[in-house]
Amino acid sequence: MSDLADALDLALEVGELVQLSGGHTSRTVDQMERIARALGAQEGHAAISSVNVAMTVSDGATRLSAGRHAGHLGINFSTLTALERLVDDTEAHGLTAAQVRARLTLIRHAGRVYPPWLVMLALGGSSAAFAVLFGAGLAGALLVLVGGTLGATVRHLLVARHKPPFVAVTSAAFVAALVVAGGIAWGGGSPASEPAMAAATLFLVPGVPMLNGTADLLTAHYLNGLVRLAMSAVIIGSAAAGLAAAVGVVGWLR
Amino acid sequence: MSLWAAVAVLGFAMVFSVPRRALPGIALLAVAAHLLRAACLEQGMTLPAASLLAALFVGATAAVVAPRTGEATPIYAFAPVIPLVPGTAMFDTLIGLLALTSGADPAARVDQVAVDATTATLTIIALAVGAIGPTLVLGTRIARLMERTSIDPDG
Repeated sequence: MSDLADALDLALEVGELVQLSGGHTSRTVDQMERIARALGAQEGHAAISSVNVAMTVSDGATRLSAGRHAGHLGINFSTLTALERLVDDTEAHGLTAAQVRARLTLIRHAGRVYPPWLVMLALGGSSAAFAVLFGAGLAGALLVLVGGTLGATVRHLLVARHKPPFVAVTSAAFVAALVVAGGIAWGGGSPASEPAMAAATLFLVPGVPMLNGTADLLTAHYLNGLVRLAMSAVIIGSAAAGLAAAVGVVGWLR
Repeated sequence: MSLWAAVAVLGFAMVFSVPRRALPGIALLAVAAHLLRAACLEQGMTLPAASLLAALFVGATAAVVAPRTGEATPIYAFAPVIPLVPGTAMFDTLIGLLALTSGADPAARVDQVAVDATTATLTIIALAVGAIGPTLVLGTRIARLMERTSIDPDG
């Protein structure tokens, strides 16, 4: 493989990993173009869509273009940091293509930062903390802790089985809200007026797609921004549907 | 009360696979942002305006701290604003919308639903713009300024 082909291939791999890790479009473009230039390309122009990364590089005499599928838009900020450091090191220390490839392999195959059971429990804890911030009492917060943990577990299991976001999020919201609404109703309260209910499904807030969508709009990557915001709208709508269904079921059973 | 924002942010930080070394800083930033918003609300600001200020504080801090610690900026800019999400307004909007179709006097509820929905939407937009804006506008300049400062032996 020529030096230019190496630069193109590695830049595409960096772009794919940034996309998969929750980087907004400007970040993806910036890191692809920087690493391509650091590896010898005189010019590099990246083009990013919601599920593909493409690039054209040139060394003055030759021009090469290629694209790569970037699967889905995931979130892994540890990977994002590792990629940023790789690009910085390549620029500052003149890493070779082989060295960059070796580090990318390590980054791609890095293990989980936190075990899934801890993440589920922490999400339940986050929901319970939201409940306290909204004015819920101890009993309400405990219900949200249980509901949030169960809901997060349901989502994790469904996503692992490649269910679409609508199914995974609606199911997770339904389970979490059912636990909380059921507990409140069992205690003689009204789910519709209890602050704990407002926190029951907040572990599903699509923070990264919303913020990246906004970043894309503010940096004139309108199409990608709209895709991310549409994704956020589907998640919020699905969570609302699950929550409404759980409140309805509990109301019907009372 | 704002200390609970630290607990609220941890679960999301773990979902985002934030490096463990960054967790204390993120928790601290979340508490500071929550306190700032509470102070702004006490001064009579609206929820969206107070949330914008708090998110700008988070975004500006992230733009300065992330390059200094060698972390990606979203680590400090994204998670700490999550506890500022207007969950109550979002929930009230949903319950209000449901009540519009099932309640006895839907016309009387329309105003409140509109207020809740507008508050929730504007607050979410304020959080997103506040958290992202400083990095997009100032990020590179701050990083360059810090590079120059660290190279200058008298600086």
